[in-house]
Amino acid sequence: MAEEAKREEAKGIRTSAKARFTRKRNEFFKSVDENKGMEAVKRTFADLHEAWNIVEGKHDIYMIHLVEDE
Amino acid sequence: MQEFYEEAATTHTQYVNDHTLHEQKRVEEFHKQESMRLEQEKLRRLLEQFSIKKKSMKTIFDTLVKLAYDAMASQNAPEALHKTERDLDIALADCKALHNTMLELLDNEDVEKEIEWIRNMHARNQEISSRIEAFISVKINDTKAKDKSNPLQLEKIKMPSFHGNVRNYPQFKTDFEKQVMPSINAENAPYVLQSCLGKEPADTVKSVDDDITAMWKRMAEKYGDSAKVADVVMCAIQNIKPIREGENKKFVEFINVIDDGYRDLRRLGLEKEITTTSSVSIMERKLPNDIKREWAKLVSSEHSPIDKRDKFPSLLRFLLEQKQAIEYENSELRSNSNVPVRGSLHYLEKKDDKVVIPEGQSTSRYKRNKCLYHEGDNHWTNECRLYLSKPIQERRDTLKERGACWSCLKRDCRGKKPCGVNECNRFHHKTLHEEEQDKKSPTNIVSASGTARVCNNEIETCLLQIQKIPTKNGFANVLWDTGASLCFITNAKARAENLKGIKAQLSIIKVGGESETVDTFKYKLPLIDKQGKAIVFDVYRIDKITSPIPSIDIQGISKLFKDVHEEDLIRPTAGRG
Repeated sequence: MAEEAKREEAKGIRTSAKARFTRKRNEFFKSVDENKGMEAVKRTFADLHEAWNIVEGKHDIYMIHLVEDE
Repeated sequence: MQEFYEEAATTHTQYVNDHTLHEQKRVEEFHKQESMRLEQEKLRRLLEQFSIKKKSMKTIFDTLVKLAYDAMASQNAPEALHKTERDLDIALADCKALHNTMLELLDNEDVEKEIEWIRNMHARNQEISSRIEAFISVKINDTKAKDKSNPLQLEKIKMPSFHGNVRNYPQFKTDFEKQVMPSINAENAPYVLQSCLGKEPADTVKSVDDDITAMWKRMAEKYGDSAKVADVVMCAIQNIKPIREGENKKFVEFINVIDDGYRDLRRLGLEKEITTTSSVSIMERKLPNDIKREWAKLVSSEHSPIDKRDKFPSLLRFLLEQKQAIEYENSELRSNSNVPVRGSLHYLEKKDDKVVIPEGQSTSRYKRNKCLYHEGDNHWTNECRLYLSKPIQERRDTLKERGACWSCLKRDCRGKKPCGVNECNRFHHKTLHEEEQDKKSPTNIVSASGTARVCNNEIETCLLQIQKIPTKNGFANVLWDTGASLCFITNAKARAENLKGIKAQLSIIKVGGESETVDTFKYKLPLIDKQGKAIVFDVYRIDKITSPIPSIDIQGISKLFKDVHEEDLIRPTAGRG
């Protein structure tokens, strides 16, 4: 039970990371579409890149929990 | 998610690339615009400058047009108008050049204005040129008509000529170079120069008569020595005999000699040669008594403006004033032909050795100058007891000194009459006659203090001990005076030898104990002896030592001595150093 709870928690964390990534991606495309300038595009892409790294990290943790259950 | 991220990354890369490219284009565009702006600015400035130039050229053109109209109005010579016409052509050519340059820079609208401007300038030039041409042709026709009607022709200007007079050389050279050279070419110059020369100078340049530089050099060596000019001028002044009162013509000639001499020397920068105290003293001695007295009054007056140390300028001024006065007095309009000419002895008649003055001419002046010894006394020299008491040689000396005639014992007469005593045919007065035996008598020689007593007109010459001795820069004519306590050198010789001296003062005590102090220089003068050794003398600079040395005929003298050749006896001539 405990393992399942941890796996669910990891999944929840990964979901929120994915949601953050999605927000950052939208912000990035918005800045590109609206041509807000090089500085804004670079800043939003940096945020997106950071969110992507987090998603990858949280996904890896969830995958560990998933493998342990099997 | 991976795809989403890669899509975003690709979009980002694309955006950055696009943006960089855009930025580059923007910068390039900016640079392009900037350079265009600079070009336009440059063009604007250039046009501004050309516009100013155009105004300036138009002003010049307008001025020339005005000049041409003025010249035509005041009937100036055609040559002046020709020059103005040429200047106008030059000004129009400048305008055309500027117009062509401006055409390349201007836009269509301005080009029209520019073409209109040059067309206007052309039209004006055409108009004034045609007027000038018409004016000149009228003038030429007038001149031709005048020439036809006037048979008189101006004489051609003569070429300057030079016949070997040292004093005329500087003037001749200046005249030839200024007046003749500009109108001949270099090839003809030697021939033209030779044709201007007299026999002696022509012989001098004969060997180099195809090279004008060598010709001038040769002539400069012979005639261009400024020291020679100084010698000639001073000699001319010294050779003038003392002038008597009333001899106005001689006096004016004397003034002219001084004035011309001073001008010549001043041209050569040697005016000091004539302005020295000794030169002024020589001139003063030559003056007629009345003029001398007037000058003395002027010099010795209490508030005299004359500088005693440099009397020459005042003396020259005084003499020129006298000359003016004489010329005024002698002018044809004022002279009275009934008044006898003063100083002319042709009014006198001679009867039996006694001079009779015609009635109306027995003025005080005639009385004053009758006797050579007693000025103002009313007896003649041949009646004078003092004259008759003198030995014959002394009588001769007195006549020589006073410049009197040996036949009539009067001044200003050169009439030769034979003596007649014991059928003596020699030309002298009876009171100067000596018998042949008297001449040979040794006792007479003793009584004449060592001088030969001869009954002829020959002049005894005392030969001074003079010698030509080599110096470092040539030769010096040396007078050995065994009684002298100091050695002297002339200014000219000191300069010629490039001597560097120290300042000195000479105290000269003259006959009668009169003392005079002269500022001078002391030099070391090396003279080279026969062994080539230099012997140094301390010499003091003075203006002049003696008169020029005359040449002596020494032919035959060498035969009187053993082992002496004629070359050993050669005496130097000309000025003494």
